[in-house]
Amino acid sequence: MTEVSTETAGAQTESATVLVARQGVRGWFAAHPLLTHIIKRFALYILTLWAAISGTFLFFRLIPGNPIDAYTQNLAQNYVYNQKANHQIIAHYNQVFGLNGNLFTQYTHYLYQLVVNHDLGPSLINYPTPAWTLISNALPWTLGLLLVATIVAWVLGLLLGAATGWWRRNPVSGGLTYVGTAITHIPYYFVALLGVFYLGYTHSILPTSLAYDPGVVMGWNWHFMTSVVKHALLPACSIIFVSIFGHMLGMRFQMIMTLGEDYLNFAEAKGLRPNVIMRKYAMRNSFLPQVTALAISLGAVFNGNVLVENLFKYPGVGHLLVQAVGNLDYNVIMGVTDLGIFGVLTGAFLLDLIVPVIDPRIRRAR
Amino acid sequence: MSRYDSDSFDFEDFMRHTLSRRDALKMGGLAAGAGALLAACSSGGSVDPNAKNGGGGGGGGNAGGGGNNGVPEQAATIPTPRKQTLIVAQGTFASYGVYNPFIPNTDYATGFGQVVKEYPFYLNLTKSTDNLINWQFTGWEYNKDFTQITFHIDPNVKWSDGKPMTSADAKFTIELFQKHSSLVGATGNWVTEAKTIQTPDDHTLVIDLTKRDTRYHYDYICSVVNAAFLCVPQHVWDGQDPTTFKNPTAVFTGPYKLKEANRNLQYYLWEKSPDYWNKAKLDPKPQYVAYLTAPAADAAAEDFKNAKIDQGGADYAHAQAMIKNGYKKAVITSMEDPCLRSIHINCDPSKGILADHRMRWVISCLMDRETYAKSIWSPPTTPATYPWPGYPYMNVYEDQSVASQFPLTYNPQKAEQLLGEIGAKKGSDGKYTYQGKKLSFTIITPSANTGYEYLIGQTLAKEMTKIGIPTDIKALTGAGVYNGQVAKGDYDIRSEWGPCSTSDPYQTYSSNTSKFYVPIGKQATTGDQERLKDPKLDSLTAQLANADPTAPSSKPIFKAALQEWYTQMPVIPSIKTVYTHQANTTYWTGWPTDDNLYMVPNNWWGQFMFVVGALKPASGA
Repeated sequence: MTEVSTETAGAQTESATVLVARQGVRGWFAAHPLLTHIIKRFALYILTLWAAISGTFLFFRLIPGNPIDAYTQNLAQNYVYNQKANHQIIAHYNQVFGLNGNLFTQYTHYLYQLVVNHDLGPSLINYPTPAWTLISNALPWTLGLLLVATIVAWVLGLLLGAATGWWRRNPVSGGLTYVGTAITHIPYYFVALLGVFYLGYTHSILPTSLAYDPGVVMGWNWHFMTSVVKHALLPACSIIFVSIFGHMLGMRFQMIMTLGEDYLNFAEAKGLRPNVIMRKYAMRNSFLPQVTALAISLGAVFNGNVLVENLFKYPGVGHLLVQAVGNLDYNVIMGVTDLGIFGVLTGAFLLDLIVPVIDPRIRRAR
Repeated sequence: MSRYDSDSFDFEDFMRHTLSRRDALKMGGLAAGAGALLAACSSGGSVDPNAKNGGGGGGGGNAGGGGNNGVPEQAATIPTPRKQTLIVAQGTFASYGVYNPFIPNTDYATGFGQVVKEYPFYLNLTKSTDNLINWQFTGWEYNKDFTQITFHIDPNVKWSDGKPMTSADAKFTIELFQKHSSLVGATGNWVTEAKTIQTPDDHTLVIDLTKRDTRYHYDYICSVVNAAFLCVPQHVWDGQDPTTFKNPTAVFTGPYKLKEANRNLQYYLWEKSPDYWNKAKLDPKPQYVAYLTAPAADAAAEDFKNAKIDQGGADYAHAQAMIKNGYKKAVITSMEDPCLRSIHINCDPSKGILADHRMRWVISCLMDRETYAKSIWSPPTTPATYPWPGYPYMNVYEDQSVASQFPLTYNPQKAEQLLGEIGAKKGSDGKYTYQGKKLSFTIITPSANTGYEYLIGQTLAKEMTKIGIPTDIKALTGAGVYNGQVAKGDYDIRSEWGPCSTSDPYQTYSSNTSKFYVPIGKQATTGDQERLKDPKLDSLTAQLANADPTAPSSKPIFKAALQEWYTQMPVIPSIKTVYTHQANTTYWTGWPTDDNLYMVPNNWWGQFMFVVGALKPASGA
């Protein structure tokens, strides 16, 4: 009995300590709302990142066949009959590419390599070059092309959208809206094809492929820069041409919603000039969803624009992804998709942190 | 870091080419101009006319090559002088900077396998006699019982770095593969049958074989694409791990050596080797050979027409249209493929009626080969009669007395008669049953649904369905999917290619011997993916293995084997296949033509080296 009493007393003391500790953590959270917000968002970010990477891992493994079969098929289809793959080769490369064992074993191996060793593994399409080396070589081209195109399209689309929303009853605004609605449904690559045909082949105005001219020395020099810009014009224009109108329509919609708000009537009643009302009241309040759209678009840039890059033989991530998918190069495919996931989620996470800073309403609500 | 390796980014070199203040100002101007241009583009406006010639300003010579026979000036695709460069368009490249052909996915059709690597012997498939070309080696001889072979190496052979190629290099190569079984090609006879290797002098290689083999030398001949044996320089490869070695300097014995491989611009550029060892026999005129990734079909045709590509790029239809419209610089050359198009049957005993050889003949009788050859395949071709391609030197193995007993003709009545003989019964619904089960099959193909093999399979499926055996077709175009399914025996019928004999019919028969047989569900990677088990064919193939293929005494065995193969027919020959090769004569002439097919014109085969050697600069180019 005595012993039991002692145990009970000990347990009570322990639970009290835990309670105090809990109150302490809660108390700390309550005292630091901004940090709490960041920590919660970061935890959610990590969880989503893990879930998305795991999901894509499983998704790609559901594709029938495996990279080594693809390789042996490649040998056979290219008539390299006297280099038939044998069991030793298959076993060796299954080991090298982490394809041994069941799906769970492969998954844990992949996650361990990725998280602990920061290693995507070797690429199959350029074995034994690491997959990350291939991706990091392609990434600057994609970022250079798509980042600029995305930002330019966003800025122009925003301005056009604000203008068409503000002057919504103007026939030009109406016309632009109809044109924009039609153009947003045209795929990028169709515009790109038209560009290649007319500006590249018919009139020989712009180069039709690659990232810069052969013979140009790569570096921070005039010839290289002009060559890169010249080669990026057609692919960039084809993206910008369509994207502008998407952003324009979004911004126009927000502007029209905002124009019905009481505070605009109040500003007008105060005697503020129309352009001030437009810039400081209407535009600023319509701006927020567009920032969200930009952040997500910027994140998606990391995946590359597959069709446009392939049409222009642009040496970016999208071009690399197509090669990797064709050969079922899991390591490169996963590397590119992981990068895209990372880009979009990080963009969303940063947005979560930035939005309260740029929108006082959200800051106060929190 | 190697200067050859496009993956190696030299930061210091990059920074040497930095932007001056003047350039910075220019860049500012350019940015403003680009902004205006972007706006112009988005409204369909005009663009900078100065951007017309994409030759670029920085170094590299007169790459534009304009003013040539009325060819419009176009952006250059390579940095070297156009008139000195042979430009070949090929598929998409991936393995820039890796020149180790014994590991996965080293691109071989980049010029590397054509003008850099060389093989001991080459087979010219277009000639009926004297079609073996001694190159690195001057010959071979067997001992009396074919258990030892002696190769003679040309004393003049040198690597592109100037060092001589000797028998020690050849011995090193074979032993390298014996030590590393995971190298691609390590299961070849040239590796597994080499018991001991002696090098009595620098130019003699003596190999004792583990067993009698009358065809051991086949692996040393470049017949299709390449040869299994590729000698590597010991002084470069010694001490390297061949399973991961990139071989960045690409030292081999060919007439060209590596100048540049550019991942961003997607080309491989090879420069003529000034000290090439065999100039007396082969002294190519192009100073450079460039292999570049062809753009999409329409764009490639435009590039071809504008002489930005000398061979490849334009497909048959585009080239035909160009010629029809008066373009005079295109040459279309036809070349028979080493592989017939064919229908492969899963003959495993568990496959029911398909295991009966008569059912294979039912299917053969439903194959309308004339339609396949004239209406499906382009350019039109001819039906196959023998299970090997129709190269002139293969005629010696043809035997009309045997072939006439097994006519490969379209005959649905005969098919139905055979079905009756097998015991299949036609029901009131017009569908056949066999042993109480309704017959139905699926044909699989690796070809997309617009591909010729798909269309052949689809036509056959319709014929089978028409007589009462419902059959459908599936295109398994995903990477590795088709191969995985075939290797495991998970199919009824396949529409694809093969057999692909280029030396003697033994190659056809031996791949269907039961030593390669594995049950359905297990991987058959080295042969008999049709899962045929026929003791008679096994026995005849074993006799052929020991027979000298060139000896008259072997003829009766070849005849008996052909007879048995026709009887079993695990692979049903369909049509001979012809591919065309489009070349442009604006800069280079002397291409193989239909009238003068002096060499295999395929730009991804090792034999293409001889085509490059035969080209001459076009007059006025």
